[in-house]
Amino acid sequence: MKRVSCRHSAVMLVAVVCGALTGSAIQAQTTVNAIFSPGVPTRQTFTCTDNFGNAASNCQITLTVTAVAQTNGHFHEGPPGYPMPPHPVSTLCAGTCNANSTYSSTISGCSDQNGNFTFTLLPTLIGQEEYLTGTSTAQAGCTKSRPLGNWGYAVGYSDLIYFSDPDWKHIGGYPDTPGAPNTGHGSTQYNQWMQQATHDALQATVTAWQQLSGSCKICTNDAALPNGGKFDINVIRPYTGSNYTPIPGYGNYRPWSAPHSQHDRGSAVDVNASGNEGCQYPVTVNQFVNLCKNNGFGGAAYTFNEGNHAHCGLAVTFPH
Amino acid sequence: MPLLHLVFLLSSCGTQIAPQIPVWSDGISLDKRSQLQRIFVTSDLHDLIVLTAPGAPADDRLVPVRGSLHNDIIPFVSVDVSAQSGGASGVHFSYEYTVANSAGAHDAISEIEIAMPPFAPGTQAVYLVGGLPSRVWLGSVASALVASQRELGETAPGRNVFWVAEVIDGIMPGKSKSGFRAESSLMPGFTTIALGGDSYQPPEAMDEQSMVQADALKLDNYTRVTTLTFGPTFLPGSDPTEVLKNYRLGLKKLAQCSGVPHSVAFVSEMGRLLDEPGIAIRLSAGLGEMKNKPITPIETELLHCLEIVASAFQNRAGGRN
Repeated sequence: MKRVSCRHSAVMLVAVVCGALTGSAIQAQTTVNAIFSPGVPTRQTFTCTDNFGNAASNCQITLTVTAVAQTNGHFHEGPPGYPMPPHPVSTLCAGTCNANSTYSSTISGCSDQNGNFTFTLLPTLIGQEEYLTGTSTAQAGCTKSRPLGNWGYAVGYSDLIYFSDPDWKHIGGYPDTPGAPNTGHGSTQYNQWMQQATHDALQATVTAWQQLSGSCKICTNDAALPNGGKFDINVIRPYTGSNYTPIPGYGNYRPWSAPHSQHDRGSAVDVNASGNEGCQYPVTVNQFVNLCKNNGFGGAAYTFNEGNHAHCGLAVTFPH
Repeated sequence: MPLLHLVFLLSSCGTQIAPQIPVWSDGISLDKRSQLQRIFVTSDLHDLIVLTAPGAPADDRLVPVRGSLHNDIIPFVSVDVSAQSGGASGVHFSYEYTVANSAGAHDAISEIEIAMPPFAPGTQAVYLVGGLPSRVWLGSVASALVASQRELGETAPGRNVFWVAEVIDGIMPGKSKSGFRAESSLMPGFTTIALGGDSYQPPEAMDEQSMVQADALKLDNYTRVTTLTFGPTFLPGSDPTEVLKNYRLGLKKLAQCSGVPHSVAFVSEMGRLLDEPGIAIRLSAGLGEMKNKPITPIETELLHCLEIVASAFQNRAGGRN
């Protein structure tokens, strides 16, 4: 009697033999086998095989996406009394799909004559870890229903570096600075990631700032999370215009709208002015904005005055 | 002609742009599904209108948010160029700018950028020696190639020498400020000076689509007023024909610019002089006598800069001999 196992294979990925994963309980932590760019559809394939490694056709497969809590600096599942909505997760579509296809966090389908079940994964805009849970049901060629296990991956970008120049003052708000709102990112170790080009432009800008102002330090604030993606998600309730109600002590942010959304790709960094979150090395915003523009950051659509801080961003095309 | 009138006419030469961002009107649709344009500019080009969607996703109505581009400035720029002995090339040039803002303006001038060629950084081709009118102004040379020669119509990006202040310390309407000084080994030529006010502050609910549109529609062009001036342009070893090409182009732009006060007779005679066969060779012997004398400030600066260039070539020719 044949025994069916399944594996997931995809371009650039190490195939995972699901049969090796025993038990169906959701794992608290998953192995990250791949990283997918937010909002960029990717075609994937699960392959059903029997216990001899032969392709098993007509194998009914169900796949479900689940977000892993508290990953990529999203340590904000909601304070007591303010239950947060669930994380948005990536969605799936059986077969080869396009933008007009129907996507869902759970899909089902049959493996073809080669044992393959092809689907499209549309990564969420949230940078986070997720996993696919697969189950199969008995069909012709399959011996029994059994869990196929979990396959973990991350949504985000793998090209971000941590801004850690010890000569520059770091400040990321909570909890490093007294009185700063808790944006739920844990610490500055999670919110100061950026592309190399961003780092280079910031370094050139700060060099000029040092020469001109005599100050050797600045207070950097929001840049990007370790894997990028939407900077803030559940720490604040979704913005709904006049109905928007900030959570006491959690700041007054609109996480899904620009300019804050320019922190999704590691292409932007905020530099604090006087009084912003206790900055001891404030910059003068208009002057620093101009320095940013003349030292590698983008123009007025990407580098601008945000009142209590300068927002310096590369001229990049956003994928979402 | 009253001075105020002169100032207004000069500043109007520095047209901000050929408008690319659509002009806002009250009849523009605010339906989120049908209205794809998110960025508009008021007819006076001073405010940006951003259509935002701050409501719930199901809310189809866009909300216009107006924000100042801080470009309601009427600048008048003059430059004092002088050549001094010293430096590796034997001579260097001092450029000291005075910037005035007409009383008819409503914004302060807090950013001044002068476009220069894309010389390599760290070459000390341009440097600032005490080149600040006061401690509240910062001055520097750009490390990135971001300068636009908009007034000369050239597209290759160059390097800015710039000064910037916080807007509260800027040049208020009706005021002027001197002391923006750069030292350079580069000889003077026609160039573009861009002036602006406080940096644009986008509304919080401006989405990425709007940002991308703003960039594609050259938002930066709307935040600056540009005009012609003279600045560090040519390396000491430059070919005279290249120098003359710049002056011919600048003169042509000056003649076309109806807002800049200039004498037709002077500009015409200067144009003929620069078009004369063999002028590139004869330049080192000086410009020669001109029948028409400069009248307006920019004409005086033009003649002075050309004399400096001629003198530099003369020194170079003498050095070779």
